[in-house]
Amino acid sequence: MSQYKPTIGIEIHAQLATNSKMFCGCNNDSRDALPNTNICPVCLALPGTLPVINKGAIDMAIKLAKGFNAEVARTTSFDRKNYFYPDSPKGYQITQMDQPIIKNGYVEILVGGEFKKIGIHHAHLEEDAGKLTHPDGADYSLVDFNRAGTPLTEIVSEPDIKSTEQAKRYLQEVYNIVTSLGVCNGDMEHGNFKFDLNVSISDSSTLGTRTELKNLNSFRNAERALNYEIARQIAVLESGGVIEQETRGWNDTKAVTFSQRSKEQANDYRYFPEPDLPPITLSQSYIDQVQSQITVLPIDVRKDLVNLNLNADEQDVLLAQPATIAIFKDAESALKKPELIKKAVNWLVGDYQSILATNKKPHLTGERLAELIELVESGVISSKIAKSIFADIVAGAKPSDIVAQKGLKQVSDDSELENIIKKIILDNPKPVDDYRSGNARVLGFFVGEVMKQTKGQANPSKVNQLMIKLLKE
Amino acid sequence: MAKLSLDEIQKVALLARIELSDDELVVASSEISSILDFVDTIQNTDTAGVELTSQVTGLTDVWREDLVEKCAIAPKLLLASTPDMQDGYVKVKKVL
Ligand SMILES: [Zn+2]
Repeated sequence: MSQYKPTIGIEIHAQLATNSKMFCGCNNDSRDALPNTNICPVCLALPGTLPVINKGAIDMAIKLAKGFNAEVARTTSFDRKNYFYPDSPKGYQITQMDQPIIKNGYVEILVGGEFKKIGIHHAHLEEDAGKLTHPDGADYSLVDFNRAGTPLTEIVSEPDIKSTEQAKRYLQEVYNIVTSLGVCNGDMEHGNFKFDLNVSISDSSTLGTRTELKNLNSFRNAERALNYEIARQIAVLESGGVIEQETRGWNDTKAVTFSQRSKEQANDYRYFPEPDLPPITLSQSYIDQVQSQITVLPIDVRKDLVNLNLNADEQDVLLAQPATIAIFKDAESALKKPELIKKAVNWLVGDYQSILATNKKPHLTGERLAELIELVESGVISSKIAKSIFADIVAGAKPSDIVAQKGLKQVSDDSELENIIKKIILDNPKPVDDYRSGNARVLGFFVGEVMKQTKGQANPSKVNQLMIKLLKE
Repeated sequence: MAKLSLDEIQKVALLARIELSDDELVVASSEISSILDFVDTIQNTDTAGVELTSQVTGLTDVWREDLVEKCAIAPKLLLASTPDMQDGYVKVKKVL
């Protein structure tokens, strides 16, 4: 059997989180809106209307270019892609064909412990269509134009992706970039981030015929669809068949890809320059000014996290939450020592995540997290106490205040601890005998008793040390 | 004369979502072919040294700040000429 290797290219559509739509002032957030309420003559394409470019979308693209290590086109322009469908009021989509705003970049992905560059051919701006729904069993469809005119960026990779795992990593990395730059809300359930996967397989250096898997909207489905499609193509070739160049959809319930006869070919779209929109020229100083607002890129955070020996899952938890990254960066600069920074990460990927599940308005800052870690490190409080007050800190309390307020300072004072331990020894003759006759396991019982009596405020290593000493007397 | 076949006319009609009868196809074929002849004539013009133009206003950087402006016209009025509505949606022939 031949060794077939897959080659994958990905097109991602990310909705831009602008306030208003791409070419009109309609509200771009229609999550809670009734159908056909965020509309105007421009996005409905009523006669005599003209589009005007949203500068916010241009700025977001300029930021994205930095995230993709890419060039910003100094001159960028728009084109029309013509097609008729009920979700498109104009009968064409305004997009970018000849002069996309972002060109020649790359995204670094971490696979098998090494960084690999995936080329970004280009990324361009365009507008979304309205939303079509097909009520079950009905002989009609329904259109909501609230989404018509929402700005999108389409991110087109080079065919540099060589496995399902790499494809998954690439999608995750691009997702991290667009969300951490505040360019996309990343709400995948609402279709903020969707992708098409171009897949071919080959057992030689010549590329095979590719199929396009359209409209996937979850990482998990991307993985399943790719695995299925690669296996399907291998089976076709192995049985002497040929792969047809076609568009295929993914059926989630049946877990198969299926052929979708597409009615239109690329040249059927009759692209031509959009006459209603003059070109945009961008000076280097303007590009620099916009890009200087970016404080941190996810890839830099990932490299930090790799150095702290975090596994990929832990890295992804942090990287998927721009606000948590900001906390991490602040804690990192306050703590400085790698072993303490690692502790900050543990808090953020552990306890903090469970609290976030219920507390949607957290007030944790990097500074306070660092303070909490320092309090444990310097022995002022035990790590157990730290855990017990963490929720209060996330709710907005200052660590040293809450420790003082609740009287939670760790008991490390020898004489105080010795008194407590002596009393426990007197009260528990049986375990004491057990210990003295060689059963070292009862030590845990004694330590537990001390913790109970000090409400967890005793310094555990000190307790251990004193306990052993006093039991031997 | 660049003569388009009836199949090609049929395809253009499909892309434009226009239904043509057999008679209309024949008429459209000769009319569109004559338009293409005219395009041929234009294409024979000597354009050496002429800059490619898709914009004639000379404007650049016409844009607006990213601010929400509620449309002054009520959605109901904007959709007043829609033939069929249901629960706020525009009702269309079944697609897919
Ligand atoms: Zn609008």
